[in-house]
Amino acid sequence: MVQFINSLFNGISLSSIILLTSLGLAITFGLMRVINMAHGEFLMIGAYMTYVVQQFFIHYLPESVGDLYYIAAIPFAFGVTYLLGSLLERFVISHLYGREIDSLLATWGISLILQQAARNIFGTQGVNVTAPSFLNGGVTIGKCTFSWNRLFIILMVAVCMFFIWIIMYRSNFGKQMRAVMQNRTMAQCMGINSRKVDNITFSIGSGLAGIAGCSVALLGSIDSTVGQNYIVNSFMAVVLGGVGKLLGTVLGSTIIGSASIFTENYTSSTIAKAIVLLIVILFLQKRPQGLFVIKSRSLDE
Amino acid sequence: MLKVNGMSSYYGESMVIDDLSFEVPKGKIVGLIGRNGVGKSTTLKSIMGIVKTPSGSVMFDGEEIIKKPSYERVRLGIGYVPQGRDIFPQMTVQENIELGLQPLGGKGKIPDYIFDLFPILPKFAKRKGGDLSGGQQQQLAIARALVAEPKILILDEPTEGIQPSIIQNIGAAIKKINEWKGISILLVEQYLDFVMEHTDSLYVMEKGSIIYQNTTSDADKTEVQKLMTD
Ligand SMILES: Nc1ncnc2c1ncn2[C@@H]1O[C@H](COP(=O)(O)OP(=O)(O)OP(=O)(O)O)[C@@H](O)[C@H]1O
Ligand SMILES: [Mg+2]
Repeated sequence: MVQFINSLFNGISLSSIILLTSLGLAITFGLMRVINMAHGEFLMIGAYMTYVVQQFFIHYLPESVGDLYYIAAIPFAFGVTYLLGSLLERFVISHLYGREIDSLLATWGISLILQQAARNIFGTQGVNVTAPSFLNGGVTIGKCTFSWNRLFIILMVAVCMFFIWIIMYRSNFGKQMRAVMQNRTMAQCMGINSRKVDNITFSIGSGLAGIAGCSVALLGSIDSTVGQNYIVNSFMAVVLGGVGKLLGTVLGSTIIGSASIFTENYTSSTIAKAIVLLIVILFLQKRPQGLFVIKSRSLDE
Repeated sequence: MLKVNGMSSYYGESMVIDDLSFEVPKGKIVGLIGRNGVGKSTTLKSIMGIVKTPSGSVMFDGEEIIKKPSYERVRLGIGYVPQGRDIFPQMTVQENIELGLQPLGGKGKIPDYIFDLFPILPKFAKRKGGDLSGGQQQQLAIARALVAEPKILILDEPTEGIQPSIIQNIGAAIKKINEWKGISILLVEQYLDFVMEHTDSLYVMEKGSIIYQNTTSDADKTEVQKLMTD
């Protein structure tokens, strides 16, 4: 029982990280039909930025505020990845719209470049951040201990989700974004600058991956492959959830995250990956369109 | 108001319209008619900037717009109702109407007269746009294009596939829009009686060019009919 609850808890925290990265993938694919192979590297950059901010605090700021580094790292990581995402969209992806294979190859190339850049800057050895002291330990209920850093990750993802929901369904930008998703040409004929919507959406997706990087930094050492480790799960979550629906992505991530942790507990992590992949393949045999489908003309065509 | 001059339009490499010229004077209702596939919709899409128009000129309100992106044209005051209406299916009727505010930056109020023209719309406010009937969608599409109070309204076959009583409503709405607000109207149609009844002047199109033009009062209906069937 205790093991079950612990697995469930770890499953939820992993799911929430997967969710942050899948969201970016899902909205950029839903909006622009572009699969961004470099998305995982934005997670990696977010994680490294957490490390950079911590180093900055250690070297330049008094020790008394040292713990605050993590609070500062979150908006910093978001900002850096948002900006990089914006540049990537502007200078690469926007030239490759409607050319799926080309954009796949180009973003894959960029992911390799970013990984190499990370190795050049930070070395091939992993770097570590120390979790701020307020996230040490955890709460114990009965025999189960819930670590603060995982609780914090879950909370952070919940807050991000809330903001995404507000942006998508309560803001004018969200209205523009949904209009472009459903019918790009008509959205333009309603006076919407769809190029700008694409760029901001892509940037927000990248920024979310950056925040996911902050949470990954709490859980283990950071190296140039950290993005790859998480992104495979995110791709599966997006496929499983069906694109274009927030709820589908949430469910897809939960299933993938929990399935990974549970199978990992009873087998090994490589077998777990294989089993999760198998689940996804079997599921897609039954429902190739994913858990949810958005009925829209633009997707039917 | 709107003056198209020597415009040509392409889908990819294939030219659909060559050297087209016509004009919609301020405050007038102008009909553009012709058989299936002659390029009427393409003409409207060219005005909206959603097909390639490598040569020619489109002057709107004294300004050259042929090089401008669609969203800027719309912001200058062009309201567009495409063939097939293109309602956003996953959005509610209310949200579809509110999208009409986008040319004004998404802010502002929906003018009351729109609900005088189409009193059924408030009843469906919460329904998904994709769940409305064709006639209801047509009315929604016209309302949506009017929200930002355009200077010209461009309609692509608003009577297509719609029952007679709704066609009457739409015809009456077109007249009122023009009279109450002085909005110029470019009306693409196949339904000749509707055009004869509601326009000030008309153009007949054939294979991407204008083959006939006249004021509606001087136009001979049987002659126009013949041009459209031969
Ligand atoms: N997206 C497209 N790609 C390629 N060719 C197209 C496209 N849309 C239309 N065409 C071609 O352009 C020509 C003009 O089409 P258009 O839709 O403008 O005709 P129309 O006069 O509006 O006809 P209808 O009365 O049937 O609506 C036709 O030959 C059509 O096959
Ligand atoms: Mg047409």
